[in-house]
Amino acid sequence: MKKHRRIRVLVLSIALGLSVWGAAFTFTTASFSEGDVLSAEALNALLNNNFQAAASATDEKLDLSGGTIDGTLRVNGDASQNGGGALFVSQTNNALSAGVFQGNANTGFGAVSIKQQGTAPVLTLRASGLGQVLIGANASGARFVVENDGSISIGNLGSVGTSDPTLRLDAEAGTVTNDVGSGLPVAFGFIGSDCSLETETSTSNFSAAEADFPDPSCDIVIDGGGSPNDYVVIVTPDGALETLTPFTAINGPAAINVSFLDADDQFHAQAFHFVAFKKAAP
Amino acid sequence: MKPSGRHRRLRVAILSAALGLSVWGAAFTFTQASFSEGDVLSAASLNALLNDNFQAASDAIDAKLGVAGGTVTGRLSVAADAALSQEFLDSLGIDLATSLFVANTASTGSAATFLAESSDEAPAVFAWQQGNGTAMTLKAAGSGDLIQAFSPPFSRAIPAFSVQNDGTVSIESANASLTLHAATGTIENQDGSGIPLAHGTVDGKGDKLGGTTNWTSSQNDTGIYTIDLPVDYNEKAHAVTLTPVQKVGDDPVALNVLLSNGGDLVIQARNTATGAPVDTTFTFVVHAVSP
Repeated sequence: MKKHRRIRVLVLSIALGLSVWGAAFTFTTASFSEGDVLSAEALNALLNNNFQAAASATDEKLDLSGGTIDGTLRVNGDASQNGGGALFVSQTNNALSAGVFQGNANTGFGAVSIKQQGTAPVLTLRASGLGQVLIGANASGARFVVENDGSISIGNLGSVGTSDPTLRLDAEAGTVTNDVGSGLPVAFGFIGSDCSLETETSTSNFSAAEADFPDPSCDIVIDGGGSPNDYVVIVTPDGALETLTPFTAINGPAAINVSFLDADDQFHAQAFHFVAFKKAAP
Repeated sequence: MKPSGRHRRLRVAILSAALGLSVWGAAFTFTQASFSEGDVLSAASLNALLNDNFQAASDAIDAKLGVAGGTVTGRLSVAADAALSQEFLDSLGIDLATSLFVANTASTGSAATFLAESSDEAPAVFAWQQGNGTAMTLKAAGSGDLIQAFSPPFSRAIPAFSVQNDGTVSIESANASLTLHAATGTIENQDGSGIPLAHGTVDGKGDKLGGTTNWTSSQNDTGIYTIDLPVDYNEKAHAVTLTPVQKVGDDPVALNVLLSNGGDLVIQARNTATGAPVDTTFTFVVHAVSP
């Protein structure tokens, strides 16, 4: 009988030895034989000790309120079988993040490294609410923000990324502005001597036409309304055979008039290039 | 010594309560086994008791983290000292150590999805780098974009913000777009406006005084200068603006672009009063609609 008891104890100890976490909860099927006799004390100890070890090991890893895994956790999934992804993390508390990744590396890759081996995007971000899509912060605060509509703000943006940027790429306006207002030209192009628009050379947001006065001269109207005073316009003649001096003027509520004077102070029909910048607010 | 039926049923009931884990509880709890010396259980009952309840426990844990996946309710913390072995990482072609490794071997689906319902400052994912390393690294072994970001309405198939495979950044809205081209180093918006293709200053002898690094200049004749751009110049592709740079008291100078001449940008400077060619320092800016 002593021999039988030792054998069974050995079997159950292997089954329940979970203090070292394994891939899954596996156990060896008990196989007592009819007529075996164990002492109650031995059976109690066998069950209690091993269940306690299993309970402690499981609690340490994953109890009702979550758990902590000391060591590396690998999740290998096959999304075609499991749905949306190998790892799905959901946070229902409206004040917390779904995931926090904290690193302490001085070299190499980031606190979070994502590698895409297929041809799909490496990282997809989706903001169903109104929050920012992406914030990059250093020790002094947010420095790079992608806002909900895709606009990008760069600079010392404060703790939550909403302070005035030094450089902003605006998704709605399609403009790039810095803190002094300079940025992309609002329009540029090439205008023929008859005020015809050369579309291959020009931005698509303005029109040009012959002006009534002075004659000859051209009126340029930049889309989006606003006063001609809102723009800084630079003009250069193209292919001039005479010495010409360009002039710009305001013609009505929307038109920027461009004319050329020759050496005899006569207005002259002339093809020209122009670039217009939107003035910063005073 | 004949076994007591009452005792056997009592012990079975106790152990069943202890091991009934098919519904996962707060923790892995169990009732202390308390067999008394002299109790006798049938082997079949004991086998069934252990096997059924271990199977239930196994199923419960598998539901959390089994070989086919599982669900963890509550916070899961993974704390490690970059424990994945270098051999393992090398075998995957990944040269970094990590505490959490998530791989999706299917050709569809994401490796990880993070879903949050936060309405305050907490982001869906917070990557916090406490060392001097990068906070987030993205690596595209394929040809896909590095980042795609979507905001409502999701019916628009184009991401509001994306970083393409080569680093090109695109911002798209219903009314406008901005593209920062990685290959050409230019910015283009919905109207075609972008940063200049080239700009700089040329002195009266045709020497380059400064500007972007993608052009050279020379003097052809008195008051005639050639600027060699990285692409062939023609007035149908480029907008050019010129401004003379002079000292106080100099005769006024008028500048103009001469008609396209074999792909070179040719500038002409003349005395405004006399019309005679004259050497002068000038600045220029060239914009191209198509970067």
